[in-house]
Amino acid sequence: MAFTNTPFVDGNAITEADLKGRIGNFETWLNGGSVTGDLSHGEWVTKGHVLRPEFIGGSDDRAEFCTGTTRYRVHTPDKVGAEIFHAEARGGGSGSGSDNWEPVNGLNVTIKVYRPMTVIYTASWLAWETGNSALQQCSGSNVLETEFLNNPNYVAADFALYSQKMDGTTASLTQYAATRRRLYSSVKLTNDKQNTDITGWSKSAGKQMATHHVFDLTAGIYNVGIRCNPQNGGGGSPFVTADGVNSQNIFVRARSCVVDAHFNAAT
Amino acid sequence: MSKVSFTPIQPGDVASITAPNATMTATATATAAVNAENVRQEGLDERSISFPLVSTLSHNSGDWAKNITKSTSMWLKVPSGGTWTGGTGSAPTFSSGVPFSLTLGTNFSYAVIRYTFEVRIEGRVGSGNDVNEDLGFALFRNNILLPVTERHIQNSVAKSQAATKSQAARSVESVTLLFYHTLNGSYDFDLRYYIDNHGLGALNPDAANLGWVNGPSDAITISRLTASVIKYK
Repeated sequence: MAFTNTPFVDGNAITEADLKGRIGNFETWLNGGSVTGDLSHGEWVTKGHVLRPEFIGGSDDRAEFCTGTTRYRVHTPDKVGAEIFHAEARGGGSGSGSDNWEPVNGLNVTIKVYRPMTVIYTASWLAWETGNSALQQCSGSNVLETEFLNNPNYVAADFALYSQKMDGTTASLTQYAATRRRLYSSVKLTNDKQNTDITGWSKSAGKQMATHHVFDLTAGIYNVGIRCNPQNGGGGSPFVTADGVNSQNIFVRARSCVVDAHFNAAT
Repeated sequence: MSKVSFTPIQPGDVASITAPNATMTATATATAAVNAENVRQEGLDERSISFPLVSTLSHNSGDWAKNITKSTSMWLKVPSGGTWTGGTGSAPTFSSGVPFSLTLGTNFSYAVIRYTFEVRIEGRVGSGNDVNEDLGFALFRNNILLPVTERHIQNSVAKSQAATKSQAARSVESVTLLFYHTLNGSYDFDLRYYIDNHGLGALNPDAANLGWVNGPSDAITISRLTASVIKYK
């Protein structure tokens, strides 16, 4: 769209504001005043002029793009890259509320939202709990106690997608409840009288988890990603309430996430 | 070479408004000729030409949940959001099948459709038969099954019986359905499920022995659903 001039009127006084205003208008046009209509103006905007969204690993934030950004993080299932929530380090037990939810390294990115944007978050991860010393899979009558599997009385951890503006407060902290996924405690097989060839702890509590969500953010810098709320395995019998006695370690191994941030109609 | 050039006013020009006006008018005229020859592509994003390349539609259930009907051996739409229970805040509002009407038109080249949710399945079919129900999910496009999207889960413990607590069991799984759509025209998508009882009777939830501390109890429950369509230009 061509710059629209506002002519001076012959005979009128010219003030400093008149001059600054007109120069300012032109500067605005030259530096950033183009409008959507420009895209069809003479059809001179081609694909060559529009920067493609960059695909950037990690949270490094170095560029602005016309249509949005895409970021991803991946972690292979090796032990070095594992995210482990040890009983003594987690917020559960002494923490409360949102303090119990800890970002899962590898499933979180920092994004800069230049103007109102729509965020598309997709992630999958493998998690399990091990080290539970209280939950036994066999009763005294030699009956397999399968009731303990995936039982909500014995929750090892909850996972959920969060977004939080990096402004030093928790005012913007948002959990997207539709993304919550639950991990249940493993069971101890040492005293299993039916499966006597099995010893130690089972990793049957392990789960492949996946979720996605679409949500809008206003301008700002945000942390976006999955957070974990490690728990004591529940307060129900046979568990005791002291943290670290029951659910011991929460592992998150192979995991990946992709975060698309796109300009939207409100931009 | 820039096509926008100024005609500077020289010292000593007659003190009238004519010259400044002429300069501004000439500039305005020149800007109409701005084209690919004089705009650097690396500067475009700084010119605020930021426009959406995608169009999004989404639904989600929050932490609400829904028992799935015990009807078996037919594809049924996932119930509407108003029938879901047990959550906080307002109930979800999507229609049955969590549907999307999708038209790519001339503006969009393709679309990515995602459904993610959590399913818990407990109990077994019949009375004492050692078989567990099979639960399938799939996307339908204009009422036609898209087989590539089919996902199935079963209760992981065989011979899971409702009669005793010790033999009851449940499975909880994350389910993701993903589809890449490129056909032009108008299409309706929805999410459906299929319960296969292997011909061995009704489903038997273990609710009596495995009561949930949150959400409804039944043989099969779907919860924590997000559905989205992202159309790309």
